[in-house]
Amino acid sequence: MDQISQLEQFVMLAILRLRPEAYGVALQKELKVRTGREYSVGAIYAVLDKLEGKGFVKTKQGEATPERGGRAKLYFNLTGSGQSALQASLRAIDNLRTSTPLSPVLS
Amino acid sequence: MKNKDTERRDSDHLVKPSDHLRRGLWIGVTILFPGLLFKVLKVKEPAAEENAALLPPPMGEALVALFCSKNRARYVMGCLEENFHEDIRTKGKRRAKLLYWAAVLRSIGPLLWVKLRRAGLIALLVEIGRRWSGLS
Repeated sequence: MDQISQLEQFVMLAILRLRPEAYGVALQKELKVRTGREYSVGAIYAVLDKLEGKGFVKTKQGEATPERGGRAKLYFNLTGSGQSALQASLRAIDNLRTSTPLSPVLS
Repeated sequence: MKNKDTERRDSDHLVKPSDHLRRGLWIGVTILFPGLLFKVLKVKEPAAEENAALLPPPMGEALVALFCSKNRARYVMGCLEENFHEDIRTKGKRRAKLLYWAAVLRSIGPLLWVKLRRAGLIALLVEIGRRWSGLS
């Protein structure tokens, strides 16, 4: 199975949170709110392109809105293989994290 | 003495002067008539002054259209424009334009990377590097 990078994990989780309304700007805002990092639109579309190439994401054309200059939205959703790849990747992190002694960070 | 076939094969590898002329003409025409460039790249032309302030900078859109793959360009431009309009409402026109340019410049790198990967240019450069360094 294909490996998933951290940003790919973030984007896939954001798609799951937002579906069926997951499109570029919504994903960008969700990632900013949940991770505190601001990703460019180009970076998000690059990741989505990669995920689509792996067969983890499918697209559906949405409605055009005036604030987008009359251009349509492109909605993203996870495929079955995308969901299983995400679950496997998160399970691997959980397995590593359980019983790992993390020393408390003093700030 | 070369026969006709060899001469023909040699001439195939040469860049014809007509190619340079065509390219030069094209650059000249786009400088003289920038509207044509916007039409070819399928980007909206700058409108009248009062409306232009509410539209994202057309050169920024042209850059995205150049660096993004054809099937994704309109969606990326749509998302950038949506952010631009929100910035106009919350931060004002001037700051919105600056933020738009920043977003375009930050987006070009990843989009270009995807385009190059798709074209197989990265693999080609790696192969050239391997051969040149004698690692293969």
